[in-house]
Amino acid sequence: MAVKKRFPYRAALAACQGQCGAKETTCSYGCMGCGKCETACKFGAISITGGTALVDEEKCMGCGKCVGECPRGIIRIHECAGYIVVKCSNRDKGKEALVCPTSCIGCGMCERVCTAEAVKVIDNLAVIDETRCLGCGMCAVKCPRHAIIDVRGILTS
Amino acid sequence: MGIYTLKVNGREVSTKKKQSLLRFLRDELRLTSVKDGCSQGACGACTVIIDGETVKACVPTTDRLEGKEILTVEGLSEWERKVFTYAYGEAGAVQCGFCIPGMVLCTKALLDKNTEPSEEEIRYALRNNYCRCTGYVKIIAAVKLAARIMREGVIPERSCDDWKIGSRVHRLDVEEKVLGYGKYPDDFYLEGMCYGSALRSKYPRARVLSVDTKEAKALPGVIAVLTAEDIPGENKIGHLKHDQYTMIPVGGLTHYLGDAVALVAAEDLETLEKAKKLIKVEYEVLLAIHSIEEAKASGAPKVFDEEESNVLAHKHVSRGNAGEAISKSAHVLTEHFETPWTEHAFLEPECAVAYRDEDGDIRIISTDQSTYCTFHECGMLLGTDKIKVENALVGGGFGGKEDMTVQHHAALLAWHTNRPVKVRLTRAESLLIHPKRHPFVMDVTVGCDENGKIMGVKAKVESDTGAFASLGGPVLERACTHAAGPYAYENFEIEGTAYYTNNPPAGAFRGFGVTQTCFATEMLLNMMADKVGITPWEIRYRNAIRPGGVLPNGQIVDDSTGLVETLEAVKEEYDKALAAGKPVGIGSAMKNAGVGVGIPDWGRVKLIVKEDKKLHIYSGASCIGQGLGTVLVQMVVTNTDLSRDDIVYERSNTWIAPDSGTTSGSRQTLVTGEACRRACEKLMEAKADGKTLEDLKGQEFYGEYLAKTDPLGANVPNPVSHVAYGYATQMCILDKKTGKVEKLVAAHDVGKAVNPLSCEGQIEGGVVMSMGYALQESYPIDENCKPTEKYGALRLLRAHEIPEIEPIVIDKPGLKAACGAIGIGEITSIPTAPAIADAYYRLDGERRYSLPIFGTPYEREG
Repeated sequence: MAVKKRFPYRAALAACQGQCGAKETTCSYGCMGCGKCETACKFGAISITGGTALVDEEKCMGCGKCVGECPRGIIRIHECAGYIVVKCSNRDKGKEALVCPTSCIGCGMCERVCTAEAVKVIDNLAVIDETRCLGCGMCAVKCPRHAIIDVRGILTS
Repeated sequence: MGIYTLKVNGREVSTKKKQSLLRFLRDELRLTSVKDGCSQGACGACTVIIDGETVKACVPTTDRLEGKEILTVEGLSEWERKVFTYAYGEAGAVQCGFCIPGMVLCTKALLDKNTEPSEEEIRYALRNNYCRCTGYVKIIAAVKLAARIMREGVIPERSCDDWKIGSRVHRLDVEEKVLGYGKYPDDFYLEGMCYGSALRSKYPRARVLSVDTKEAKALPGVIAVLTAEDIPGENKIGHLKHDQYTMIPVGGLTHYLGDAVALVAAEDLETLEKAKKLIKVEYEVLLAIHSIEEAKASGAPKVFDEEESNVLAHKHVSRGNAGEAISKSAHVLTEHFETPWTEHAFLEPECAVAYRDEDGDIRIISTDQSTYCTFHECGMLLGTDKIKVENALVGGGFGGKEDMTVQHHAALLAWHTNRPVKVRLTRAESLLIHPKRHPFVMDVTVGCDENGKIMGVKAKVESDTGAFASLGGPVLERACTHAAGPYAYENFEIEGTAYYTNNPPAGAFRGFGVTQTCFATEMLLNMMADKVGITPWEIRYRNAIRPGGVLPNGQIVDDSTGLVETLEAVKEEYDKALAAGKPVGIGSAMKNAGVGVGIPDWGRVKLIVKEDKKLHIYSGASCIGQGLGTVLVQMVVTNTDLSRDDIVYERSNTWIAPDSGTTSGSRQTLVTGEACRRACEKLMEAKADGKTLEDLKGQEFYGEYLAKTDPLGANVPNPVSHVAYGYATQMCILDKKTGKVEKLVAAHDVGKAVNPLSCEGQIEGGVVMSMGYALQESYPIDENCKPTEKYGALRLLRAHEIPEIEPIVIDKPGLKAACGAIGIGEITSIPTAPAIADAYYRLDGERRYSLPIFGTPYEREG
């Protein structure tokens, strides 16, 4: 680690799992694998893996440089302790969102099962309020599209 | 169907069933340290470690855990068990214990990765787990201590081990709660046990026209389906007033969504739910009463067929002439205040296991605040006294486990099926069913002279008591009597009314009505201080009740009265904060210990020397997490020549232990404590000629104590309303930059702290509970009188959200009972809200008249 990070740690999150196979995608919201974020990152924390931006939270300093670089605006800074994340940016409705195997279709299952009222579907996309989230991952486990993941890799693989 | 194989505590195990990990661990592997607190992913009581990370076991299902390594506290190493038991005991982190195994695993997962965690890292490691008892302060301390011990590799000696009153000994129930082998009712899996549950009303107010149970009864796996006709005794039970229906009969009216219409017993939980869906109930849906306003409107529909109106109780308390005194006052203020519903949110949902024992009696293993209440109410229902009730561990109560919620249903099902039956509420049911804190609307007038001396107080208050009486009458009464505050003045008049509605019932909740009226009077006192031109501290100091003084209820207070000492204890920091320009708010309160107002209030203790040559303490007094067992053992060690190892504390039951009243009214330390002290006297008389416990084998020593008081309005010049009062001053300091609470100081006069460590834990827990009450907690009820079903939506404070809390325990002798110890349970939650609200006024100049207060960073939109 180049600079000592301050707790609570923050890191960039690229909200796309890249399941569509990058550039051939019909998804107009997801990562294109353009690599602008990778280039912008001074800490070598982002790599384009399998055509999709992937953040190494250990290396990421949460500086936010990549956020502005992303042409699709799918990168945001979040608290690493909020390990349950929506890894999709698709705002299309229902069937139109069925462009990749892990797209959010805005079905609202997450919202219904969340005990903390931390998940809301906004513009057909699930959004987790990390200040409210209790980290249980019920939304991730129940998501029929596997669009919500456990960054730790325990509840979702 | 596949077979799912996983590794649990180092052992390979498999199951054919796709089920939640929680159900698998508890029901199949019987790893009952993994507690079922909500099954919603909220509470964290079921936390386990999977591949090094904490996970709430109610979330993942067995089919997705193939090959994963799972750890519960049963799988901790011997060293870890010792470290965590010591650290949690030394820090005083254990109260009801229901959250503790989860907290312990959070501790382990953190320390495995980070041997020197900062305070903030510890708070984050605990923040997805709720604790309702401790306010997290001592759990955080326990993690810090555990980290140090892990690093150093040596477990130190206990800092206190003499078990005398005043000693900060480790509570006696630490180990069973840390290691998770202590049993709550849900941890009992009896041979041949089946499961029971109630079908509840679909509408808050409707007439039941018919109940058809045929299809449900025919479902394989269903053992019994009962309706009101199957009740052998009284259908209507209750603490004082018997207006709580066990089941609504055909032709009867439902009172809220929690009313049971039928009861089912089945072999397993899945069949149980299926059977409930097969019961056909026809209703005539009627207009429901949602609020006090609707309840008191002329021509309002009645909540109860058998009542004349929707008024449950009306109280009028008057002394002196408040109207005249106010009219002659230099300064007069009148304001309207409102306080909300509050959910107890104890970590352990209601559960009871009932069965017919070898004597043919119905035995009930219960989590409640009085085994004898359960005994009497279930006896009424079954029309027999052939009932035995015993407490298992109780996972928190706070007033919410005083009424029958599951005990009577379990008893009735066991009676009919002759099988052991477990009835356990889901968290959604728990949120609906047990009585809540009453919402109040209050109009209060205070008159003061030019020096801020209170001349008179006049008030009118109303409460929504919901669907049945519970303790709505006494709560209203206590709200009225204590609205006067801990001040010396003569003219006081208050009128209070409690209304039935079709909302969930309201009843006892830590503070018992005083939390509500204290908010109103303390807020007015703060405003009055500004009017007079003195500080809120000064106005309290000038009016404070002092030993020998007369309270507005006419009682002459004794030498243990320590309000002034609590004010003085915060003075330096108060002045410092003021001088530094920090927003600081203050609130004071008094709270009775003991039921008082002329009601017979008995403490009873039986000390039995058993074959093991140990003295066993039996008392029909429930420990709901506050630490009564430790208090009684310290009482015995102090008042006899025995040592800790000679003494065994037995949990409350109704066949050996004598009735020592409900755990309510902050009464057990004082009332049962004094009974225990008296029993010790008898033991010491028997030991006078040098006899040892061995010589006394088989003997019993009985002590009882009547906390004698005068009824309200007794025709004596100075009635003794309560045998003792605790006093407190709490102070809130805000951080100007963030607008958040920087520090809460809570100074409490407790007479004599039996165990200062436990006492601090009560204070911290009470303060955090009421910080939530003041700033953010929520218990929304919709237009169908339906409250939230989600535990996580209650907005209880989490470990990373609490400010610095400084408990100050003040001993002041003078009470001639229980070695001077006054109960601390409730008062910890009373002055917090007005102190916080006043601090925010000092920050932004906005007065707040309702809770939770607006305009703070704790407020949540949407």
